Amino acid sequence: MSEASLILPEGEYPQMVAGAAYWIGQTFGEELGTYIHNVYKADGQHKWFSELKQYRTANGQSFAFDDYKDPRFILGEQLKKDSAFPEIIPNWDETWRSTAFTVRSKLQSWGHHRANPSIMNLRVLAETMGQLVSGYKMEDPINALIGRCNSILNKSYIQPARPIIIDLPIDAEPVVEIVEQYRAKPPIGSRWTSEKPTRKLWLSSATGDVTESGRSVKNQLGVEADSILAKWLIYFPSGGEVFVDDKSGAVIGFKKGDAYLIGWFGTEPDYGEDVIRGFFTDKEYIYTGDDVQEIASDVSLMESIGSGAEELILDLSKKLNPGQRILITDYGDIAVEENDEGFVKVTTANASNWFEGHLPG
Amino acid sequence: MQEFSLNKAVIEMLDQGVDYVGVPMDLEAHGEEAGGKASLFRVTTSDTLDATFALVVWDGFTPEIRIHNFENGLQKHERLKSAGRMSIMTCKDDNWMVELTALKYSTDGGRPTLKVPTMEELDELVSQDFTELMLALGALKVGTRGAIDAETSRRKNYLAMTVKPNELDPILAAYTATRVLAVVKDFGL
Repeated sequence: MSEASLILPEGEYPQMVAGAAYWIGQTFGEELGTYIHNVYKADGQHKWFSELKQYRTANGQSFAFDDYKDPRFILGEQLKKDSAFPEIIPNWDETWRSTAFTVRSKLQSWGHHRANPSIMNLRVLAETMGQLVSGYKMEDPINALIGRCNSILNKSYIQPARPIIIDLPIDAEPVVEIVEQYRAKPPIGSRWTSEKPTRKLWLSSATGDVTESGRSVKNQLGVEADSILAKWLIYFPSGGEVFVDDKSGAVIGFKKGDAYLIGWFGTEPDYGEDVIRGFFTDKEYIYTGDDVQEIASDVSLMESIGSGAEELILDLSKKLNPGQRILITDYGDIAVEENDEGFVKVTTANASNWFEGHLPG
Repeated sequence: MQEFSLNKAVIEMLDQGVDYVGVPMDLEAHGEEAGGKASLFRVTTSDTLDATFALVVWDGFTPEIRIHNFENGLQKHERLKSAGRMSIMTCKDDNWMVELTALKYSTDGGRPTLKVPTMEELDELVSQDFTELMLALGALKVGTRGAIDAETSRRKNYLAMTVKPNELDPILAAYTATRVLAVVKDFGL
């Protein structure tokens, strides 16, 4: 068992949720890594891990791990055609292999703070991992974790007055910081949960103008004013009152009582061209060579929205190889897993050229 | 209760027993004023509405809930200034009764007007079981007028709610749900 014990989350506390996600990966690596090591030892192959490392690097493959208990190592190694792991891992079959691929991708997202630390996302990770660990020591705790996530989500869990947020097996600060940054600058089209701005403007869908107390303020948006306003109207098609945060420039509109970020007054916050913004959505896709296919549904982007996606697919064709798996963040940033270390941004999609309903707005 | 939340609205009880002069719905055709006592309550919503409403018990006329002061809000909220007054009727057993009509947009995008909702639509407006909520707030019965007040006229199938006279919480909640939240949530669109 892992030295880090599982603390069941008490609610939507990012650091507790991220701690539980960390526990899932570490405990899996600890349990299966130890098992594999014992199998090799029983066969007299005490140095199997360093020998494997030599073999992989001699064949020009990357091998960034220094611990056989690293879950990403185990999950990645078993995917390789010449790996001995399929013979060793209990219950290994093609289903296990493909589920392990998904788990690996999800653990990468969590490890790089690209998974939104929400109870919903934690449940997805726990359930997916749960399919791999039948008969493992971690099976019971992971079922308890799934049960807790479900009871928090269906609001049947009553949280104690003082939730325990101590001794988490992760450095919680980056998680909290990222969640705070995200809250301040969420993706356009998503719910606005920060303080509501008070500067009131009127966005007219009929004229494409924006006014304040009856006077146009369009010129304050600079030379890009028309395209900026057109973009606001993608996310707030009926127009009407919008509210601007004077400090950040966030523009908010209300839909059925809830505040949504519909755009920025002026230029969008600059994150740097290569920076992947936001959290990965729960969908996975494959680039087929001339289209993008959602793996779970088999629906293709061209089928879904037609010619509106052509430009994006052309862009992808210059940067990707057919068969590459791609992920997308809620900001529309499309990324591929470049190596065992992380993700690389490919390009950016938006609500009008991506699968309907897969991005906010 | 001094203040309570109802989905995307917060209802705050202000002064009670305030002297009030205005035109009751009963006298609207003549424009005559009457006096009464009012209970004032403030409703704020997640989308910037801040308005005060008055439950007025008129001297000799049907009690009602009406807008008192519109402090702030979106343009669509201004509909509450001119529409959505709620009459408080007296039942056969002398309790108070309100009909649960709601401000509903027509599909052609016209202004919302009072229409008869289904019970499921009322549940949707408060995002929970409407009947359970009203009973928990102190209502006596929720159902059709035929079922709860032995009504036999053509209005017997209208949904309604009964409360003890001056039992304010369920009445204010029903008003807020069927008028304020209905506008906030673009009911009907």
